[in-house]
Amino acid sequence: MTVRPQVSHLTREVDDQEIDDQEVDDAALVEQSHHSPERFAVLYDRYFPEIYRYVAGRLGTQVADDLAAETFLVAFRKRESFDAARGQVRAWLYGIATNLVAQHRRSEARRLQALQRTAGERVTDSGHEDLVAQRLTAAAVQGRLASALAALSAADRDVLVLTALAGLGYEEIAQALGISPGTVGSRLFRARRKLRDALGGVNPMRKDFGDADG
Amino acid sequence: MDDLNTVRDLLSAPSPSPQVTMEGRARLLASLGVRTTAPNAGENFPPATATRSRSRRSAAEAARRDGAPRTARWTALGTGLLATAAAVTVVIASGSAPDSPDSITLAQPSSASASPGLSTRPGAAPSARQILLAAATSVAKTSADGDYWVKHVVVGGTEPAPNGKYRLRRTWSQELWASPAAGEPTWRISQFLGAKPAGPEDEKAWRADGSPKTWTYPAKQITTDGKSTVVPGRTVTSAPGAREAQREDAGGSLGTLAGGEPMTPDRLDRLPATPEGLRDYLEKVVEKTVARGGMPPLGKGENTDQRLYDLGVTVIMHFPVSPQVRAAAYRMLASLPTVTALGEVTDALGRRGRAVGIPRTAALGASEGAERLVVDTETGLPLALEYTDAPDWSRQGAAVLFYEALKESRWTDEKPDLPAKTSGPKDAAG
Repeated sequence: MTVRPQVSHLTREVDDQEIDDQEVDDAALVEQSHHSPERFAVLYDRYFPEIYRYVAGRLGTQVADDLAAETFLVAFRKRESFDAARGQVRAWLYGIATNLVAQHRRSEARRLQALQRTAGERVTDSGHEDLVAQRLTAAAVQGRLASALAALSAADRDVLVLTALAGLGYEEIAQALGISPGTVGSRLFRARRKLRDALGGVNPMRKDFGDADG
Repeated sequence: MDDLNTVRDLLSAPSPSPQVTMEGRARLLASLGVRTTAPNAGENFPPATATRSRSRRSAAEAARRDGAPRTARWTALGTGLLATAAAVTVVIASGSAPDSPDSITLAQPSSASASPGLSTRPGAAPSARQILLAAATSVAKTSADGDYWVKHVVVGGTEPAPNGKYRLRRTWSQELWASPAAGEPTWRISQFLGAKPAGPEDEKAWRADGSPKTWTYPAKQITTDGKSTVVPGRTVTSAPGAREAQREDAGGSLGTLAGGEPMTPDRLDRLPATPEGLRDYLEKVVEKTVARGGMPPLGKGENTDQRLYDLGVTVIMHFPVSPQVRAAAYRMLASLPTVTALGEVTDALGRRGRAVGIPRTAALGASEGAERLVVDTETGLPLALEYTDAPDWSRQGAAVLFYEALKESRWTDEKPDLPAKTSGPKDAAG
């Protein structure tokens, strides 16, 4: 495994009385929550918006209204199992959210189907010719992308969406999903290869393969 | 156009409303006083695993009590192995699969093959069909005896160095040890093997760059839906990491097929051992996957060959199936008319073998990348699955961008060499 920069700050003494919440790092908050559960709410404030957008992106806002909050309840219940030496809180939360998403695969399939359809419908009400043409192209790309996403295996899709939506790197995704970074790499590679096929002639690998890892 | 940005755009969702945020916060606060560690559906391991492993275990124990011989692997293989293999050969030789629309393709490689006119002429390069059928014959003779099934894969990926001057290759080792014996846990052992310049040209550039031993990718900011997130930087080292072992309950999934079917030992046991049977089975997997929205329906003029190819390769590469099932998977691949021979190659671990691949159709847009399966013609064992971002392998300078190389995939009486540090459910040993 590569160096985990998160580890070093754990040795630092954190006095939560004197340091503003904004500056207390995540792992310390989890640690503090063992004695002072309310400290966990700081993590909620910090990460709820992005976890919500992640869940909503995959399952739609209706499901996210409930499931995003559930992520934090689950995280709080199993906070004992968070091992700061093995990674960071943010990736850990995404892992829990992803496990919850996994229990709603039907909602996900429905959302991707809806995205395929709406991609085609969005253009119909437009007037200007150039605009229509432009939107048709964009809609076609989005429709193909949605169907390509639906075609991925759930495992490949998890890795791809964590990369694209959460911006997690190999090691973070490995931590989040409890798999090895090598597995993350092969899933991401497969997934992007299929997307590239779907988008037609675009080669994401050449330009930013390394980027996917960042 | 960047595919990751496109995905981000497609799946962009609005921020939570203040009401949703407040309700969620209230729910959390309400639960903060509760210190229960009740099992919850959102845990890391599928809740079904424990149950499954228990029933699996008791089944195995029952078998043992009944004095059943160490039944072949997940169930009965071993004896009769050669007889089955011979029978399979006959089926194929007669080219029969009367109910399959593609049955004619069993007879001859179609003109779509990359090397037309391949014959049994001595000296001529073998066709994909010949390579795969030979591999089937060899692999059917391999042993299925042993306490453990071990799969040892080396995975390598190429990416630009942080300064973009050369390419780095990072490799990982992954071992999977699974035993059919009651209560024996499954072990997954992984290790980062280090990073180094990907090829000779890269090595030159790396030397010119001062031969660094670590590479740091800086933190960066990404914007999702108008909100920015800082992704922390990371450092890649040339030094290998520690071996880490993860323990899993016996009887659980050893991987999935088409992202849906968890392949438990029970399921692996039931895989058909004839090419026709396996093809039927995999076609049903494709149908099921399409029905649940996990794959798009077939497009116009598209057949299932590419999908069957992918699933067949997965069976050969990744699952602890009997030699007969592996042979059947090879024969099924041999029956796909568009599978193409890609010549004799050296795989990422320096081993010689013969490569085959399947051209990806333009139904979803032409692909610029290609992949190939490298097979050891002597043993019939799969060596590696390699990917390039060149349009095809015949292109000059087509370099392996990513690979999964099988070091081992066999039954053994050896035990996993476990590192001091392991993780996983403590009760796995039962």
